Formats: sequence, C-alpha cells, structure tokens
Amino acid sequence: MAALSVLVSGCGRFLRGLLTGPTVSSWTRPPARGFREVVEIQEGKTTIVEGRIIGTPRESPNPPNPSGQCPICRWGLKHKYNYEDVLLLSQFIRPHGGMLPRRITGLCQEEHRKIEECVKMAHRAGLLPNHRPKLPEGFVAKTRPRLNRYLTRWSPRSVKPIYNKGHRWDKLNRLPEVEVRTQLLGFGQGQSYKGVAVCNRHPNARPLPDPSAHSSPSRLFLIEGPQWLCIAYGQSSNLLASPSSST
Amino acid sequence: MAGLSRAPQQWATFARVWYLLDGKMQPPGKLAALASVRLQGLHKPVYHQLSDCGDHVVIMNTRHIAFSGNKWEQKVYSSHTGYPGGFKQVTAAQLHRKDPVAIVKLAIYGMLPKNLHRRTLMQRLHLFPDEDIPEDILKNLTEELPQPRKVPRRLDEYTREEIEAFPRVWSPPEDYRL
Repeated sequence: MAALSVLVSGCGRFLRGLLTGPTVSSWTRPPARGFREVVEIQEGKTTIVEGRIIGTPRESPNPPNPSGQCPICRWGLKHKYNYEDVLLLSQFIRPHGGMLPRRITGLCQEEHRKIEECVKMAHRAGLLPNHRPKLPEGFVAKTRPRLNRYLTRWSPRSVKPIYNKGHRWDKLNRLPEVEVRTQLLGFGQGQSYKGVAVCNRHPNARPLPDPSAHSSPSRLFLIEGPQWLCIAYGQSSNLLASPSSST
Repeated sequence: MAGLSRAPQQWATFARVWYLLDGKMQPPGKLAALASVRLQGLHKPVYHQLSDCGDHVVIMNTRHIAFSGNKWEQKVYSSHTGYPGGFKQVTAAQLHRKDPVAIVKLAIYGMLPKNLHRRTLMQRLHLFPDEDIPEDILKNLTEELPQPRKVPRRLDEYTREEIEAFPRVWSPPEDYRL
C-alpha cells in the first residue's frame, strides 16, 4: 500500500519520467534525493510493486573548510555567489522550483535566506527553465510575450509604477542608501560608508571582514532586513575588488 | 597607418562608419550609452563638436531588451499632448508593448547633447525590433560592437561535464522524499 502510494504520488511520477528516459535534450542532474528502483514481484495472484532506494548522491569529497557548519562555509562560498551561479543554486531546489527546507540542507539561516533570494531572482531571470511549477494535466498555457528581466528582487506583480519621482534633491527612484556604522564591523574608529540596499555593486562598498571574529552573525549589521544583501555580494567573483577609502 | 597618402588618409579618418549592436538581453541604458558615444563621435581622437564626425549605429533585437530590477513595472514614461487633460503616463512594459523600439530610442535621445545636433544624430540611429534588417543597411555595416552586459548561462546551457565537475555541496538524508 505504502509502496503503491509512493508511485502514484507526484515524486513517483517524476521518477517514472526519469526511468522512461529524459525527454529534454540537455542532461539534467540526478535528483537530490536518492534514486529508487521500482520492482514488480508476482506472487501467485498478488503483485507487489515496491520502490527500493538504491543510491543517494553524496557530498563531493575534500571540501576546502571541513570544519564549517553549513555547506556554504565548508566550501568557502560565503560571499562568492550570485543569482547567475545556477549550478550552485540548483542543488538547493526541488524539481518544480521550490526551496528545500533548511533542516534538510543544513544551511545556516542567513545563507538559506540569501540562497532563497538568489533562487527567486534566477527564476525571474529565466535561468531555471526546467524547474517550472507543475501544471494540471492537459493544461496548455497561453504563451504571452515575456519581458526579459534580471536582478529582480521583488515580485513583478507586487510593484506599483512610480508616477511621481520626486524633486531633484529627494528622488524616490534611487535605491535607498543605507548608512552602516562600521564600529561593529571593526573597520576602525568613526569610519562609515554608504551601501546601497540591493545587490548591485556600489562604488563605496567594501568586503566584509571575517565574520568568525564576531560573536553572532546577526549583529554584523545594525539594520535588519534585506540590507544585508548590499554588503553581502555585488557581482559574483571579482566583487568589491578594491576597498576604497570611505567618507 | 604607414603607406597611405594624404587624401586616402583623410578619407579613412573622417569617413562615416556603420556599427551594429545586438540588444538581446541587454539593459537599454547601457546600449544607449554606447550608441550615444558613437553617434556623437566621442570615440574618435579627431572629435570636435562642429566637425560632424559621428557614425551610424544600427541596434537590432530591441524587442528583447532586459531591464534590471522592477523597472518594467516601475519606470514611467510621461508625455503631454499639449491639450488640457493630456498628461499621459505609461509604464515601460506598456510602452514596450505598444512600440518595441521606443524605450531604446528615448534612452538614446536623453543621452545625446541637448542642442540642435541631436535631431541629426537621431536620424543616423537605426533601430529594429528583431533581427531582420533591410538589405541596404546590412551592406553598410562594418563592425559589430561587443554587448555591454555579459548574459548569464541558463541551467540547460551547461554541458553534462560542467555539471558533473561542479561539486555537490551537501548530501541529503537517505530516506528523504522531495
């Protein structure tokens, strides 16, 4: 009974699709959970259909920092990824595009939120075309001409047009600049710099110091909320290359 | 250039060149910056404001430009017809639907110097929403400019070897069902 229910549920259907062969031309990575093989045993008048777990993908050997608690720290990717690093992001998502829970993946809270944000941006940029949500059977979606976008943090439906941008000295459309006091970050006495509260590269942004120097990572910034993105990462690899002298 | 005599050298310096720019998945502001520089002739060491040294720029695939952030919904283009009650405001998405060329055109128009040369320079700009460009313009093109934004690769554009070479960062529990 339980085995039958496994088959007819959604993940069973997904596995059936895998067994019959990939229909997409590009190669898709095996799913994050273990492979199960479907075995049919005929015993007289009863047929037992059973799914047995045959292999689970394991973490690759030799991470650069084995003492890290979450996968990102272990592999030294703390401020090194962006929405376009799809190979990393796709390891934390379900087949239909949703995020895996934190207690399963082992990510720490802030990294989980960052990855979630990056996954949303990657979906909106169209970088994960095979992880679309499941539509009911036989449903043909109307293909409207889609607008191309990238680095979209907020859902397009949730955003209103800015009809009134404001006066020259008080414009609304500029992203809110966040003044971050750097005593906590250990940059020195009385230094401060302005960061832009979105993951765009800001000329004044500087790389973060080693967070292990502080007691709790949540106290790195005085301001809660999405402003962590401003310092966390701008562009992916050569981000925040040269520390510029702040005001 | 060694070997060119005076008249050919003069011609090579001041001839008007036709550039091609592909706007697929590119932000229109960056396209406009490149185009306005070439249209004015600022990329030439012999530039002078009065010497009419600008070049032609052909931008194709303007229907497939990409805005960053939520600008498709937030950016508003305003105009007034001149009649009372004629103040019109449209979002970038609506304007793009109505005219796929307008966004890039307005961006370039705003980046050119605000003098009487601007209209002449706009006449030297050629915008096409898709890849089909008329024959006579295709014959004039000399160089394609590199795209300003590096377009990230989709997940299905990675080869199997690259996906396998990338390390798995975590291992799931044995019995976990997705």
